[in-house]
Amino acid sequence: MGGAIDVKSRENKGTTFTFTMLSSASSQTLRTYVTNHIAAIEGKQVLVVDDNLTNRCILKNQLEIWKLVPTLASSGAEALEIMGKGIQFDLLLTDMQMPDMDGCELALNVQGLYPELPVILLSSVGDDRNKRYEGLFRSILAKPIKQEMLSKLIINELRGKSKPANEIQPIKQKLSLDFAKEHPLKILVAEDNLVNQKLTLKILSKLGFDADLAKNGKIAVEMAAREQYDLVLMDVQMPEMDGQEATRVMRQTMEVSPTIIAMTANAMKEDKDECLKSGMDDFLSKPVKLEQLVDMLAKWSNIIKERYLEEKCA
Amino acid sequence: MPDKYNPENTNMKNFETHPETFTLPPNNFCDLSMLEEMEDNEYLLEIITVLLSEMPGDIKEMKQAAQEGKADIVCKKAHKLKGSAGVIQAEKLIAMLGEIETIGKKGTTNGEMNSFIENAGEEYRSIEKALKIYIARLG
Repeated sequence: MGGAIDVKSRENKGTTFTFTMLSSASSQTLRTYVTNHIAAIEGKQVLVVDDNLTNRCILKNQLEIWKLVPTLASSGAEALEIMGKGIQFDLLLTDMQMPDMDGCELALNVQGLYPELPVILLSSVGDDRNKRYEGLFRSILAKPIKQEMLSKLIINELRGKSKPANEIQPIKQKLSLDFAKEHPLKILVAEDNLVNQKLTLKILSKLGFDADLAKNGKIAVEMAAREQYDLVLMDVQMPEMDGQEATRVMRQTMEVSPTIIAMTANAMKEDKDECLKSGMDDFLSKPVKLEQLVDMLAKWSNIIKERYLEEKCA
Repeated sequence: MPDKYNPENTNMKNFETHPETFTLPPNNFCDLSMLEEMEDNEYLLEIITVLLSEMPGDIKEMKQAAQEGKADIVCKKAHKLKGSAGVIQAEKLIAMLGEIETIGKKGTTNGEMNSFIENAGEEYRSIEKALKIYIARLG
C-alpha cells in the first residue's frame, strides 16, 4: 500500500501518531440526495451574500446545479439594495465575516424588513458572534461548507416547514430488498431496448424482485399466457408487436390478465391516453426512475391485494 | 463531482482567470446520477459499455435511413436512441432525437431532419468522449 507511520513521543508530554497513505480517488460521488428533491425546489430564488468573489462563484454554481436561481451580492448593503428592488427571495445565504456589515447585522436588518425570509449563515469555525443572536438564523454552517450538508439544509428550508428533515425518506431506504417482501408481485418486463432492459431489471432486483423479460410484445403475450403475472411493465414501441397491441391481445384472450403499466419515452398526455385506451392500467415515463417505479409498484401491489381480498370475500 | 462528465472542461480554466463567468458544467452532455444511485460500479460499467457499443450503430443507421428517405426507420431509430439517451439523462441529445422523431412521424425526411441528425451525431461524440473518460476513472 505504501505510505508511512510515524510516532513522536516526549516523556510526560504526550505522543503524536501520524500516518500517510496513497489511495486512488473514489469513483463514487456523494449521494446527492438533492437530485431526488430537485423538483420541489427548482426555480427558487436564493440571495447569496459574500464579500469573497471565489466563494460567491462556488455557491452560485452549486445552487445552479440544484436548479435554484442565485443572485449575488458582495456586501450586506448591496444585498439590502437588491431586496429593495422587489425580488421575492426564498432564502438568504450569508457569510459572517464581511467588512462594514457582517452576517449578523445583515440578518438583523433582514429580519426587520422581511421577517419570513429564512437566513442561513456561513460562519468560520470559532467565530461565535452569532451566538448573541439566537433565533436569527435558521441554520449556521461552519466553513468549509460541505456540499451535502448545504443541500440538505437548503432543501429542508425550501420544501417548507410542513416537511421537516426527518420526514424526507432517503432514497436508500426505498432501495431495499424488503420491498418485494412487502409487495410480492410476479413481474414481467416487456422491453426491446437493451439499455432500458438492464436499467429496469436492475432496479427491480435491487428491490428484491426476480422479474422475467420479454424482448417484444409478441413474446410478452406468449409468456403471459404461460405464466400468471401480477404486473407487466410494458414498453410501448417494440418490434414485432408493440405494447399497445400486446395489451389488447392480453385483454381479449386472457381470462385474468395482469395489471399493465406502460413505459414510454413519449410523455405527452395524448400518449398516456392512447396507452390507457388500449387497456393499460397506468403509465410510467422513461427512463424509469427509481422513486416513480417504487411508488407505482406500491400503488398497484395494494390495489391487486385489495382486489384479491374482495374476490375472496365475494 | 459533476465536472467529471465533461472532458473539455474549459469552464474550469475560466474559473482561474474569470471567476465571475465561471459556470460548472454538471450535465453538459449527460448525467449519470440515476445509474450511480444503484451503487454498483460493475453495473454502471456494463450499462455504459452497452451504450457505447449500441448507439453509434443506431446513429449510423438513422442517418442512412434519412438519406434513403425512410422516415419510419428514422423514427424508430430516433425513438430507440432517445430511450438509451434517457438512461444517461443526455438532455440535449434527447431533445434533438425528439425533433427527429417528430419530423419522421410526418413521413418526411428533409433538410431540417438531416441537420438535427448531424447535430445529434456531434452531441453523441461528445457524450462518448465523456463516457470513455468516466469509465477510465471507474477502472
